[in-house]
Amino acid sequence: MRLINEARTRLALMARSWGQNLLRTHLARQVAWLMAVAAGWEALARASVYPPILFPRLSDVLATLVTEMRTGEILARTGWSLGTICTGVALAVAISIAAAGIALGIRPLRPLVDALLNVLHPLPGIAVLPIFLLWFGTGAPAVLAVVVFSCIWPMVQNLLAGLEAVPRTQIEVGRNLGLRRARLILFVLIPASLPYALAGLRLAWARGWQTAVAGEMVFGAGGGDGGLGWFIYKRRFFLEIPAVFAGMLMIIIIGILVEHVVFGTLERLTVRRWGMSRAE
Amino acid sequence: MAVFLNHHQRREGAEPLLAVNSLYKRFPSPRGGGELTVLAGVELTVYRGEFLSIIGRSGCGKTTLLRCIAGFEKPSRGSLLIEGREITGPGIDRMMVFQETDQLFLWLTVLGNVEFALQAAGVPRRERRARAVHYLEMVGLERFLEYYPHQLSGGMKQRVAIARALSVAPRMLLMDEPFAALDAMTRNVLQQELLRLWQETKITIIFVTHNIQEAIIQSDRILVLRPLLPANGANTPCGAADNGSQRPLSSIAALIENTLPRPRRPDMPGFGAIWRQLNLLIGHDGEARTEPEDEAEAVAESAAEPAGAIVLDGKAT
Repeated sequence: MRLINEARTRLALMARSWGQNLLRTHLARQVAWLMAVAAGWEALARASVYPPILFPRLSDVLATLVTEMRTGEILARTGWSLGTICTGVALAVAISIAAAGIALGIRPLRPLVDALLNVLHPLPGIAVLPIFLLWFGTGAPAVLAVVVFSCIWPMVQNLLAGLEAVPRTQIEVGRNLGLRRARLILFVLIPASLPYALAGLRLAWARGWQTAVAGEMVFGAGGGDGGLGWFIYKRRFFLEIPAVFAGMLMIIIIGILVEHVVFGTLERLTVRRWGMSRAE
Repeated sequence: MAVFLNHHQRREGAEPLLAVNSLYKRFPSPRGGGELTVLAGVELTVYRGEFLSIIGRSGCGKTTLLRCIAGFEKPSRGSLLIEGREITGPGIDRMMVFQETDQLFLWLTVLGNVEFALQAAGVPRRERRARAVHYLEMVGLERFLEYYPHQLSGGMKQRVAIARALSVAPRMLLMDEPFAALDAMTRNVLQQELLRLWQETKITIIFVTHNIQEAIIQSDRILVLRPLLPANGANTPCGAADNGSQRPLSSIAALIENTLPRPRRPDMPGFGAIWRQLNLLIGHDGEARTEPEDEAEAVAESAAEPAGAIVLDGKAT
């Protein structure tokens, strides 16, 4: 009997400390605050302080999100946007690697790459959309071009910074082992600069995603095509405000998934495992 | 116990491996305009299987000389020959072990680092693992094969670097203050381990250090370098070596044969005598000792020691 009581006390203590730990973690606190904000939103909307057409209930938004997923409309739009941005980032990565290679491999061209970087990096992708519409035609190619444009510069900047930050000792160990040019780059420079490359990819993705959604709103789409930006824009036109919010929620969900699942996993398998980047 | 040697003096029964002939190394001056002479008139023969230490105050060109031998720096004048072939660049026959603990590839495990070197050296895939494990066992890391460098202590990282360098069977090991970043205890242990490895593998070692005790404990011969720059940092005019009024200006202060019996301990007879000689040659008072009478003093003082010494310093003889 005493033993059982003791076990019970211990269990209760464990449960309490577990609960406290859960509350103490940063993530748990963030989730708690988000729930509070969501509850505030719902309460404010239910109080009808603002016209429901402009400020829908969160429950309506969530219901619309579920409906839109069932009909497939929002998923098709999300797929379109993801296709654009994945193609855009892939193209940007290829171009950035070439640009970084040229900047470091051909000495006289280094100032050119630096100059382009300094001049064009501050220019938001969306600002070049009007001229890209004239050059590439209204439609997917123009948005793709804008996404590529906005992804290249943070990527190039990080690749160059990463390659220059490789410790001289590591390069010399490689040279000592008889590695030259291609093998030195492949086996030493690229892995050694991976933390910077991944940070660049993260930035490129974030910028590309923003630009893709903004671009889709500006140029619209022909027929039944178009991405999430177009979805939001179209629904606003018909004053289907819960759907507008549902579109935004979708963007947030994709953002969180990519940030934590895709990049988080990528970093855990590489730079964090190797101690090249401090764990969060 | 300590004998000063002529730099090219033939050693009994020893086979020359590396020859450094009137080596000069100049760098563009960091302040712009002109050049900074770091090494001048270095003459040296390194024999197969010997443990040679290079010692001197910071800035006297120890590391530069080692980097010239490694092939990372090109001589401004003079030549370096290994087994009669001119050194034109880094090569797997001269493996460098650096001071920096970031010399391991962070993305490879302990085993992976050694296997990578073997792969670069062209060792067939099926032989790599066994050979890598063999060398890691030699440095006592057989239980850490799958660890990543960031999980190792500083001393363990240097052991991996030594195993990696030895694994490709180089002609010589070039070590640039490899234990300088370690605590005194680890340093002592690694010194003893290095001596054991040296005796087991019979490899030639050139070891740069600024630690006199380390040099005496480990080496057969000790090359003492002196800075070419006056203490105020003003540059020595280029070509001073050719038209110097009194005698040729050389980076070499002395080359000392260390005949103390092994294993060596700081409290053994004769140790103090060599220590004092080296300390004097290095110029502990902060002034570069380029005046002949300074060396005469050093000789006089060391001659008074029971250990005894013969001086045959460079071209002065």
